[in-house]
Amino acid sequence: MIKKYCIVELVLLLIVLSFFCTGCWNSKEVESLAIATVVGVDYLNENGSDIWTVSVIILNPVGQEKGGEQSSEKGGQGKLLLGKGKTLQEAVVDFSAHTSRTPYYGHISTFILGERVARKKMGDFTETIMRFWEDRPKTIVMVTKGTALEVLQTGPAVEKLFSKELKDLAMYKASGSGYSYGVIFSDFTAWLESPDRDAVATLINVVPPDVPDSSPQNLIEGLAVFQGSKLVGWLNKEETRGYLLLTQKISKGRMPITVTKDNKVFTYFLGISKSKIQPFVTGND
Amino acid sequence: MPEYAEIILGKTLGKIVGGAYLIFFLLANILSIREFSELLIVTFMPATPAVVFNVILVLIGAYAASKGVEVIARAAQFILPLFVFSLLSIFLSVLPVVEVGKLQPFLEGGIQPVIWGSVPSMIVYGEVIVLTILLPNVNRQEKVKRKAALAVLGVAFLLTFGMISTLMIFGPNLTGNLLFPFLYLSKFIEFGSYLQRVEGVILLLWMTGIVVKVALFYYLVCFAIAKILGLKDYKPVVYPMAFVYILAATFLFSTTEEIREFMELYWSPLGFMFELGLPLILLSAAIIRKKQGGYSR
Repeated sequence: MIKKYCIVELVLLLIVLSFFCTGCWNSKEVESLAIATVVGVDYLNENGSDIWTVSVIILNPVGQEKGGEQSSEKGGQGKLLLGKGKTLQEAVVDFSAHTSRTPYYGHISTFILGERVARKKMGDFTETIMRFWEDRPKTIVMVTKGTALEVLQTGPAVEKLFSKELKDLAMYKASGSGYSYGVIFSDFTAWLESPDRDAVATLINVVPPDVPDSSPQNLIEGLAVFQGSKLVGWLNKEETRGYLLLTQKISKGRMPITVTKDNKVFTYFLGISKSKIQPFVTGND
Repeated sequence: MPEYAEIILGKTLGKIVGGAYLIFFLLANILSIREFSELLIVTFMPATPAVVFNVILVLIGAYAASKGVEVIARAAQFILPLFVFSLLSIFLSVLPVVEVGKLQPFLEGGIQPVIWGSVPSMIVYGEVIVLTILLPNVNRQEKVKRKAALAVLGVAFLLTFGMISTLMIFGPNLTGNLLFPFLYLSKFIEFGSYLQRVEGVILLLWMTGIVVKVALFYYLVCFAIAKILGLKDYKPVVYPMAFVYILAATFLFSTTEEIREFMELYWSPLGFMFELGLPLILLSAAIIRKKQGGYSR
């Protein structure tokens, strides 16, 4: 009897092992992946019909760099690909049809949303992303006053990877200087769903160059403010500092605060702050 | 439990109660197997058919069940410290970013919503009812009460801490809409660019835990079937039951939403009935019969 059981178990074990010999359904070699690093989303309503544009920077394959092929993203190590469709999902599929590789979205560092998406279609965007299994809670959410495509076309100023430049700027430089701060996707979605707190997103814009005869560049400065699920306005540099002071987001650098006293102009460097909100009730109601 | 029911309620009624418990454990195990494959498909391997995961898990469970309860217990003994250590590491890693303020407003609608909200979690702790079937296999029965209470307390602590951490990071609104909140929390853990993407570790732990749970419930179902059918040994039932599990776990629910709906609408009352209601009825019946001197044991 025992021997009979052993044979049954051995046969079952061999059957199970044969599953592992065939390889996994989901196995993809790294070389065959199109790793998306920055995703831009734009929306347009033309003659009553919706047009979504998804612009994605994928990492350039290592082999192509030495082969002399020009990257479409100037100065960067990424390749910009576009997809269009009547819905966001259709646009994403259209983008993936432009590459022979399998898109991989698990390394997206930043979503950049065009102003029209933020004003009219935030619900569609967050729902699509939240339902997607490769999404990550710490992806940064940025909004631009123009189109996301312009920001992606402008590319990085210093770094080779646009995704790295955006992340470093938003998470360290912008919040350190008080210009803005990196809003992550999980916070952003939680705020959109919250009945008592309005959402903000990092503001990025393409600005003319400081140095004459050089190209335009991206600047992270200010915040985009939402009410419900709609973009309603912007906070400038000063207002953003106020927001950061109130929400106690200052701990990553020295925020310069210039003040004038007795006709003297001097600067405080604010390294850390603690705030307390005290409500005052006025009137009888 | 089937044996107690027969002693307390008589042979026919006892067999009916035993049969009902058998179906409850069977269903609990089918749900665990399906949850396992669902998690893997939704979050990690969407192209793999669910039946593959179901077959693998059921066969591992069948093998462990055929080896007996001691093998399952030893496996659990090996896994437990790794499990606890990893969970505590996750709690420690998210500790610097938790915001206690996200738990507010606290008790805004009074205590009633809190009590109703805790019912589904009670079903999880109520699974300790499996001990009533395992009790005859334990050699030091006097220690079972204390150890069982400790186990429930430990589980309560880990589950509560996990849920509170998730709430203090994502807030109540987002957490309520997440399909796998704790997995999303593990995706959140990032220390610069050197420690990130630890969700694979969570998955590994969860898989080992679910293997032990499935094996134990598998064993219990086979054991109960053998008792009800009056078989001398439960082992001939083990491998035929694999077909039931695989087919049920694969075809009983067609979508994730169906499972979610079933869990929300039907699983809580079912769990309540089998984990609290029936044992209480059996206890009352036993007390009444004892007072009347109805049975010798």
